[in-house]
Amino acid sequence: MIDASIGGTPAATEAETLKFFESIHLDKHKFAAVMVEPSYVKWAADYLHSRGQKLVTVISYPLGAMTTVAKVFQAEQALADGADEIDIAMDLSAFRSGDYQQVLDDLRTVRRTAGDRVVKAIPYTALLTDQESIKAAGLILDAGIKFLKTNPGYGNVTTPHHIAVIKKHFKDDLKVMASGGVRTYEDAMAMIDQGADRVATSSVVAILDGSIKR
Amino acid sequence: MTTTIINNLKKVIDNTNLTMGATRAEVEEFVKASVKSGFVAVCVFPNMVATARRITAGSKTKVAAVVSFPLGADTADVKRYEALNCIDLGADEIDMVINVAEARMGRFDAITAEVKTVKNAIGSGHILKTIIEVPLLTEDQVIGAALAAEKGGADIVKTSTGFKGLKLRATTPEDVKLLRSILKPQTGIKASGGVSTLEKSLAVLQEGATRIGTSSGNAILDAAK
Repeated sequence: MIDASIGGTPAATEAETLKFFESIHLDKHKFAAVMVEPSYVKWAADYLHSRGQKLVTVISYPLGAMTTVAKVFQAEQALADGADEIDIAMDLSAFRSGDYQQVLDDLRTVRRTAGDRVVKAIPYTALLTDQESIKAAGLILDAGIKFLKTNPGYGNVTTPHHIAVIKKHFKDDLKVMASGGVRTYEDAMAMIDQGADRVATSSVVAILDGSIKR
Repeated sequence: MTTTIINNLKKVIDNTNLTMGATRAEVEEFVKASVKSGFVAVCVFPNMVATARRITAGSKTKVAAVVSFPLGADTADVKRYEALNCIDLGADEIDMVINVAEARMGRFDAITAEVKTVKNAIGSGHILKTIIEVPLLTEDQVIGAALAAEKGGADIVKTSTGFKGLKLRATTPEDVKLLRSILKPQTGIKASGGVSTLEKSLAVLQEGATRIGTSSGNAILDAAK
């Protein structure tokens, strides 16, 4: 139930990315998905798929400020290049402007583009009140997206409370992935205790080691 | 003297609002104030281009849109599509992030190719600025990426995104000096990322910057008064 990402190395080279893939031992572990940025999807797809590993990439990431048509084009290319799942950042400006129809249309259009693939939408819970989180999660669900990813990382930290608020309200209707600041086995378990269906982390090895020590 | 300095600053400052989640009303207010001050351009996200365009219409202030921002980790096709979409929505200028990973791998031909793809698409009527993200590169990589972008048709080489999520160091006058020493005289340099004071602005201009990207344009003008 982990989405694994490289983290820590902005603009990672191919060599650095390969080193990361090797560090998470895909021969021993399978992850829910391994995250790579759009420009690496084509390059990484064979490596990951040949090891039975799904690949997720990110759309309008990490700021969510692209136009809908550009998000669609980016998603189409990512899917054609071999992405199994896509994580899309919500248009936070439209949300904060109270333009909920725009938020909905934007997410729904990308959801349709992705066909039967898993799509997760990122509402930035670190920047929202509890009430806003529930509102955003409702829009995500209305757009036909069944999976919410709390935050994109980059300093936006998810707390167990964020997970609890959304899971209490939506229960099994909406899956939730805790993402942003999940660094240790304890962090991961705290999220799962509150109902998280997945966790995203760049500290894969630390979390797996933590689980073994128990 | 003071008037000359202020007028010169207005001609080179891209007043910038790249605040994640800024509301439409906040961006409108920002663009109105920027037009009133007479900045050469406002720099905004793609989802705010149409809004900015409505307000700048009939003024001298241009609209610059960021593309593949802030990570640059998109294919050339996606960058071309996003740039053209921004032009369609009313952008005059494009601030595109290069594929920084390619620069870190020393694959400068790939950078020339992506810049050429975008420049050919938007045409000579629209200024293309290429952000090379100096804080993530070695000096050799800065030189390679800047020359590659220039070769691809970049009108202006821009130093940094200033993206807070990456905790980048600020652009320095020395960064600008290095770029000025290698680029052709007709290629512009935009100093951005941590250029937020009058003193810093004058220092980067002294070293040859032709534009400044800052979210503190009005504060810089006020300091010059």
